[in-house]
Amino acid sequence: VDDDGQNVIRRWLAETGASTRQRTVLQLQITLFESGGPEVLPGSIVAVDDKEEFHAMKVKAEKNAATLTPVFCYGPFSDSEITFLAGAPIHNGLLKARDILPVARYNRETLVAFSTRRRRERIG
Amino acid sequence: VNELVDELRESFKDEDVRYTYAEGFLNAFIAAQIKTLRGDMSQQELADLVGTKQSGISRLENVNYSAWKVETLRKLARAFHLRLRISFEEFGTLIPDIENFNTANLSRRRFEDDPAFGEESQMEKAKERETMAAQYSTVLRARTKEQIEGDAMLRHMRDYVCRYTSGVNPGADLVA
Repeated sequence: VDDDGQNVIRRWLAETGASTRQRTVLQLQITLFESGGPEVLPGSIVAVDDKEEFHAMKVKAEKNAATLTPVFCYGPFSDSEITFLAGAPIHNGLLKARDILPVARYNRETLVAFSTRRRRERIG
Repeated sequence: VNELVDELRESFKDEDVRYTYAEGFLNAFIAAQIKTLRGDMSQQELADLVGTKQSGISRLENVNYSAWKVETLRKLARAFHLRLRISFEEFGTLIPDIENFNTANLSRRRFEDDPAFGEESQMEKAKERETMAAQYSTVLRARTKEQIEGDAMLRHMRDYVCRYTSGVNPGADLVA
């Protein structure tokens, strides 16, 4: 959650105008990730930095809508968890995950310092 | 698990949500299973087997792709030495499907490695049949031909002995 106590992913979804269908497919992919890891989501999970510290989950739920690309990291408290840190902004109709890396990095540092800033919530 | 079941039970009350889940899962299942079954084979090699382009296989292996065709899946099934199964399912089955969605559960044995058709399996079955035939034969030897002819179960046993006994046929003298 951000400094105001708001879920950053929910806020981002609201800002991008994500439809119910897009949110639902994003939630489904997160659930499938929990079941089978990144191997069961080919074409969806991509590294967004050279060190592969940050990854994006690409969700294309509608033909004419932008691909949602929330950025997450593995951990940061345990190897068996992932944490969504930020959502990519839209530029010329495209969501670019690399543009949000500084925010994702900042949010992860904040989270490591204040573990209570993380919440497990459904988004779709 | 209970948390997931509770969440889905609530979400699935909305018709659009449950169909979005079902369709999204189907797309993910197809993409993940094709990638799992392809194994060490390259996308180009698989494409050559089914008569398509590498980019076509790449698209099929993307969980966000939904324009796949049954005819293509049929060809892929043949390339993998498997059969394609299509069925309509109740929404309740989606919950265990999601819970058990991992690469181990997506793997399948090709026909050549399918134990149902393996040599060992055939030999075991033949042995079982011979044992059964020997037991039936013992029962039949204590009966007259008339008794056997007049009893459906005994006739079945006689036919079984004749069909599955190899070498010296202990049931040969029982054949009418």
